[in-house]
Amino acid sequence: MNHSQYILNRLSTFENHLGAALRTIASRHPNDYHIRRNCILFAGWSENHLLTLQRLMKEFENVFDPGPLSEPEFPKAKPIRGMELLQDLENLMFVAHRVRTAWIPLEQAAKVQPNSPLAQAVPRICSDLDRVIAWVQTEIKNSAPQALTVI
Amino acid sequence: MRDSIKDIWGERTPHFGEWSLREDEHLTAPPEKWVQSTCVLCSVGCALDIGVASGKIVGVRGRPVDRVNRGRLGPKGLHGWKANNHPDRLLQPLVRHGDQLKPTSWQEAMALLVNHSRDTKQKFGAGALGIYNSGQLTLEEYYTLTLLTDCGLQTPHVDGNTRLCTSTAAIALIESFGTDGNPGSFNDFDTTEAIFLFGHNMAETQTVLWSRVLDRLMGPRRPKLIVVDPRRTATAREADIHLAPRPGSNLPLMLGLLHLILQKGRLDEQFIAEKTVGFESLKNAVQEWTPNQTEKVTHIPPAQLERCADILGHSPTLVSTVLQGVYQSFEASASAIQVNNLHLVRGLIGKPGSTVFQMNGQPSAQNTRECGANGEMVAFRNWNNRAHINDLARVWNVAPERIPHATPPTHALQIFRYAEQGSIRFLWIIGTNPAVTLPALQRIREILSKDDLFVVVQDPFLSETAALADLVLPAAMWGEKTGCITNPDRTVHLCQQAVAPPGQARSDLDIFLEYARAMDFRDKDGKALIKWTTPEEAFQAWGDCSRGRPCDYSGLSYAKLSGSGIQWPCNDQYPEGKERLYTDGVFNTQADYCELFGHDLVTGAPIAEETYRAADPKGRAIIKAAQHVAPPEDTDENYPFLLTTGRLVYHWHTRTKTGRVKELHEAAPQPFVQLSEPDALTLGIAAGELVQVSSRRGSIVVPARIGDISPGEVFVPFHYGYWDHAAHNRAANELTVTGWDPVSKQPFFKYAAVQLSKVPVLQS
Repeated sequence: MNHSQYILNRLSTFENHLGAALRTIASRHPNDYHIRRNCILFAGWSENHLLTLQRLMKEFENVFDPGPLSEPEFPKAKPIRGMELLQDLENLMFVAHRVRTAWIPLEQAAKVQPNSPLAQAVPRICSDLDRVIAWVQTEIKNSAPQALTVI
Repeated sequence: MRDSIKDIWGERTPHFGEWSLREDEHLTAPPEKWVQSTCVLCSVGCALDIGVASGKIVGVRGRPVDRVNRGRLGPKGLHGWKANNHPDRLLQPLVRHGDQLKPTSWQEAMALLVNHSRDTKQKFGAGALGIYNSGQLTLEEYYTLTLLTDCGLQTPHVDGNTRLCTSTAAIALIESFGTDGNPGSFNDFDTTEAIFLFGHNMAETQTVLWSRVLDRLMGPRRPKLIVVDPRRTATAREADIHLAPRPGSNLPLMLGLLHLILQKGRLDEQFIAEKTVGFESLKNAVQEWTPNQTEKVTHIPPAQLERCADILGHSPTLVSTVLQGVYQSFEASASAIQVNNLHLVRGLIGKPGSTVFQMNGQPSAQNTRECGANGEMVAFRNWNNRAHINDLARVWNVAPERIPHATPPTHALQIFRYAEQGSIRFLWIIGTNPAVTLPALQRIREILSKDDLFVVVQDPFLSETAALADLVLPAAMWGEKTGCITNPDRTVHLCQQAVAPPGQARSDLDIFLEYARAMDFRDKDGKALIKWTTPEEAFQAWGDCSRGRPCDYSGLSYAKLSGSGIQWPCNDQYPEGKERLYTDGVFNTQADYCELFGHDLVTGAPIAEETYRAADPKGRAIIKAAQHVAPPEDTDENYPFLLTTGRLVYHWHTRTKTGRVKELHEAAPQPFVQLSEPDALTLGIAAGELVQVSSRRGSIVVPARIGDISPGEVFVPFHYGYWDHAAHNRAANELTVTGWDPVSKQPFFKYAAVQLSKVPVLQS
């Protein structure tokens, strides 16, 4: 396995985990419309990222099928009453940051290869992930005071 | 006197240029005196005088001196005052004993209010208190309420029912121009060459403004009229082009129009280059929205789209309006912002005959937003800007930390969600009726009935919400109190008290002031937090608070408002008000001045201050592109129709007032479901037959009305609840979705999948 393949494989795994985490959270909070709506939306973005990864792997002549979304590597710690959403959002933040960090090598590679397939695809994906992280951070800020000061 | 029930818009007075006068009047007895006021039964703000005899209201007449209506009034304005005299008025406070609400004294009611709010805050924190108010109080009441909730109770959970009607208007204006406040003047209708009404059934929702448009359509130099509405309404019938997009496709429609306008229209390249930022992102965003692609989502034929784009892209002047067809539908903020973009790329803003109105739905919704009763910062200050918080703290003489600003304000449906989860335990509902107006009503009723939630309702009538309350406070109505209201073209009107409130009813201002005294709220010097005792003193304090902000009232006084209404800003620089904003092409987007730093239109996440400052538009308008995403639910085999809800010309909100006026009630006594002729034929439904309309949330039974709507779509008016009808479910919001726009947080009332079935007639 060369380095590119290693990075792409790792990204596939992490994107899989992010998509699964998002779907898990969407299903855990059916009465919080905005959480459900955005998690489903972002899971769709993750699926698109995986498709892009598949294309990039072909570009690098490394045939790799990331397969269907795997079981989430997502904390199954016992929820604390009143803190369920905050716990999920904090864990999601970790998973999203891990994916975003894993994209940095490709983001840098794209910068030095402006005409490559990487440069076409990677900035958009990194922007998507930055938007996911910004939203999760906002929701943590919104839900924390209520969870911490009231319950 | 005209019969305004039959002749809704009155005699035509065709015009181009200045709109002529027409004094409308409706009296039931000769008045002994006339008292200056303003109609509060839509958002236009028609000035009127209240006729009084023997201490009762006996009629109204329009005020020809006023710039907004020039003496005209609509059917609700002419008849609505009769609700003041209705025997159903609440005359004393009520308190719950088991299943019953029983009369009590004000002393006991105020003690209950004070003790419950104080105990809840002490035990659970300020986050356990929620305040849900209105778009129909006065400016002075909102300002007092905001100071009381921000620095007294210190809760971040404050919102108005403006969340349901105009939160998207505010956001659209802020995202594009930096702060709230419509740029134009109603006078722009008098000379414009094209009018674009997007999701705005003006004929029914703003009858006097529609009279003005009708007078233009009948007069010289007739403007082109384009109407976007899924139904063939009275407004649509007058249009040169009526676009009836599939519900939920407003954003694709606007992107499709902008695609053509950018390709073939007359763009103002110099304005775009010098006065805006973001044009390239719009170009990229509309690229894929060819007429054929747009048709796939909107069902608008390419030829019709091209005709429409030709007018919007070439008319030398243009007035656009946006209302609930956009705000209460899917992708509200993103769609409304594209209408701003249309004006920005054409340079048609801040000029006579050219503007965009992000229209309001309620008479004082503008004041809810200006005064911060929607949870936002007062006078369009930025909750995320430390300097703005410090400035407000100086005005209020409190420590900055005392003003809640750590998070964005909690919106109405989230307040109810917190109550559902049990973290909000005290909910004060003022001048609004969520048991009929919020989506998914069964869930709302369950929340309001929770044992661990103390619900206070302040209202002139025993509404459906009041019936579920623990404590009911009888409030004075319009005509029984003094205060100002501001309309969508920034005209401030004075409403003087004409008669005393009935029984023990009190003005909302008096209730707030007494509550603040009883809670002993103090400023940082130990003096009373709220320093005024009358509406006029509150107005003067507001003038000081708004000084230097876009909505500057510092040059206004009650005496100055005794003639026509006056537009803000009104200050030393503009002592008679300013008719149009942004006439110099400088917008309020400077990082140090803007109201918010903007949002990601898809995710709703706020843009960070440092990100905004790094690309400070410095007074240039922001052209903001948007992506279309899939709606939250769609039609399927089980729910094959798309529902929209809306208003009727004869009623206002949940009919607490108009339903108690004989003429208005008899003109529209019951709800209905409107469906197309082909669908009625397929389902075997005839006009007037009962139909069960069901969604994933609930169902209603209402008679059918057939025609003037596209196949696959249905419409139900939202006015009808249960105070005068308890036989079966009939409120439109039994059906609607609990969901909201990611940016404005405005709920979807015009997008839900439903099924229809004919209700069999029982054989006797």
